[in-house]
Amino acid sequence: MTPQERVRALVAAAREVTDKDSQVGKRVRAHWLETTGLSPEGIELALENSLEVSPSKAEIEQLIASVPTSKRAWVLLSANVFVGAHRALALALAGSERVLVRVSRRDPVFVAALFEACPGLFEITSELAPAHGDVFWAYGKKDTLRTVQASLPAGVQFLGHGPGAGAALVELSDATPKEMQTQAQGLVLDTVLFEQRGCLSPRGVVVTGSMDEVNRFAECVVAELTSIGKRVPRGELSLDEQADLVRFCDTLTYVGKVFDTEPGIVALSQSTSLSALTPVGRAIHIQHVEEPILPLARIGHVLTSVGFFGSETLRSQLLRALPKVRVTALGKMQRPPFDGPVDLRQR
Amino acid sequence: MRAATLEESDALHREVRAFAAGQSRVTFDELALQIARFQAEHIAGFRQLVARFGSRLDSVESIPGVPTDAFKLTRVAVHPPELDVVRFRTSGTSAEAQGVHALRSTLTYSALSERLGRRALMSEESAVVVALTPNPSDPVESSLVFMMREFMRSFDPDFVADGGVTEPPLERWLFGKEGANLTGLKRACSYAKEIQRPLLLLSTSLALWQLLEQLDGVHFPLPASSVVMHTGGPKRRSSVLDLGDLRARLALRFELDPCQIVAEYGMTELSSQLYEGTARGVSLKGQSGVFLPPAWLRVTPVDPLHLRPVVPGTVGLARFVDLGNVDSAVAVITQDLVRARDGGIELLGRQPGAVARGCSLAIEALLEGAE
Repeated sequence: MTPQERVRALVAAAREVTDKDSQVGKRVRAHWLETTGLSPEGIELALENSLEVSPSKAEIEQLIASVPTSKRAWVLLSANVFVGAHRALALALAGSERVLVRVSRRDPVFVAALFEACPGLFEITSELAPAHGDVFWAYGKKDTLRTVQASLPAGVQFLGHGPGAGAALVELSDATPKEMQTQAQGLVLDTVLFEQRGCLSPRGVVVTGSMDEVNRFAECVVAELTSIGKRVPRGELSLDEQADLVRFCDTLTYVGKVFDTEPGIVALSQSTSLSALTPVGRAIHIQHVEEPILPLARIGHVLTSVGFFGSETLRSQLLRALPKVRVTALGKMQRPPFDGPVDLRQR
Repeated sequence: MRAATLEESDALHREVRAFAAGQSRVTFDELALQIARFQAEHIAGFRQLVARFGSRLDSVESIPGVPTDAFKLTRVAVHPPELDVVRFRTSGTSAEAQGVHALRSTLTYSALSERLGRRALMSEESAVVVALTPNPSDPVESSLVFMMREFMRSFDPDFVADGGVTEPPLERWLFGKEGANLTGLKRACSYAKEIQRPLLLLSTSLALWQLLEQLDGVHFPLPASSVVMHTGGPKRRSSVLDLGDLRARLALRFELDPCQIVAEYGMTELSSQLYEGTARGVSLKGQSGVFLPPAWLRVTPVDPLHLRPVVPGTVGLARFVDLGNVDSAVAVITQDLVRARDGGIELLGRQPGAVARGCSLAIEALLEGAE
């Protein structure tokens, strides 16, 4: 099979596996309900918005061009966001004829279902035994990646992808009410997808504009978060996640202004530090700043993605400051083009 | 800032110092509430927090704790920046904003830290005091270093601050680019022996680990009755084992009774400290591993969701009510996990925050600056 055929076969399998009317589609959904902490509606929202089942020909060509080639590739998966295994497999298949995958213990079902849907496309293994000339894709925590990399024999190309976070930059000067609402909608969608547990999820929002514009934007965000909460209930949060939200809420009550929504929290402050990443679980911290690039650049080492709305000048500044970050429209942060790894920091 | 507000602040400071000296008729609860109401009147953020909690500020328990994160994101002070005499900063990575605790006066801070420090560390009237930290430049931005210098001033009659010359010349700040200054430490030991005073060695735990490495197994006896005060265990993992291990190793190398190795707990956002009460001949008495608060500081383990006191004996987040924080935050909520025991608290590490379930970054990971 050519790389194009392999990737297309995987995409077709993903389409089949996530069909909600199929037996396998029901099975994987039941599993995700147990493991993801998302509500059933949250799972559907993620499948609809973040699982790439119809990439363009150009995207697939770019995906293939973005990866190293080898006869054999290994993939070590972690308990990523639940659709993450799809792109991880696609990347390996784009570069290698033989792909061996070790699945995450917490989330083995999706990969197993893909395997059943297209037998022979890749292998599932419990043993990782890379050799000289192989490519090794690894996903997980930084410590895990370091340990795995150190254990590899010479001549194995290692491609590790660790955790990360997204942020948003919104330039509100002269934004129309319609634009404000659209951007708020996009930001809220990016936030609600995976309940901010994804490495592309926005965990901080820097906004420029007048106080009045920022207040109106915050009100739009509150309205959108409340509205989506009715259609897509928040999933269950762990006790630690709830505790993080309590601390965030109390801190931002002191620092700025907190709008309670059900479910979720929107906070507005004039703090210029993004070091207090918002916790997961629909927490949006809008930080009204004069100069938006510096706060983002300070945490550039953890940023994978910036959802952006603003002028071309500001976009250029952002790209110069953060060349390895995906800059997308708000509402598209969780659906980067199917053109390579979502996280470009390894490049 | 109005003159009346300054006067009110000054009066509260005086009352806190009197309380600490046992010369006040006001109770802890009354004084804490007076300070809380003063802060609610003059700090908008605290007023908002009080409103959110629906608190009437009618009991100490009803005072909402200010999360330590607030010190990183905004100014936590009654007074304007131009009245700051010192700004204590938390340590932090380049990605992490530093927390700032701004003080309008250091009188209360100095009085409180000296009073408890003497009770915890001093078995005699005076000592030769040295610190395993670099010589600070003014203005001092570390509350710990500020306190060390206060101890030198208060406990060591030979110490001359602010660039003066001690007689005989003695280096006090014994840590530099090459690590611990063993020659300087040896000289301080000899001098202490000569004038028959104990040595009080002040340090971070980290600097002591480095000193142990430099000693490489060699014994370095300190004068009899010497005390080693250390602070700042690794905050992101349990420090219980580390504390015990450090104590044992230091006792061996310094040829001291392990009880003379005394741990201190303090944080930039507080004006008061806690100590183990293990040293011989001191008035603060307690068990090893138990940090004892002074009368002007109350610690309550609270559950992280509702911030209510936990069942006695169980673990909770440390909520401090610190009368020394007259101009900042009288009640502070930390992420340190503690358990009440024997009149004090055991320190059980730091609330790690939620474990990342997807590929998102745990909040703590950013603070480590390397993910």
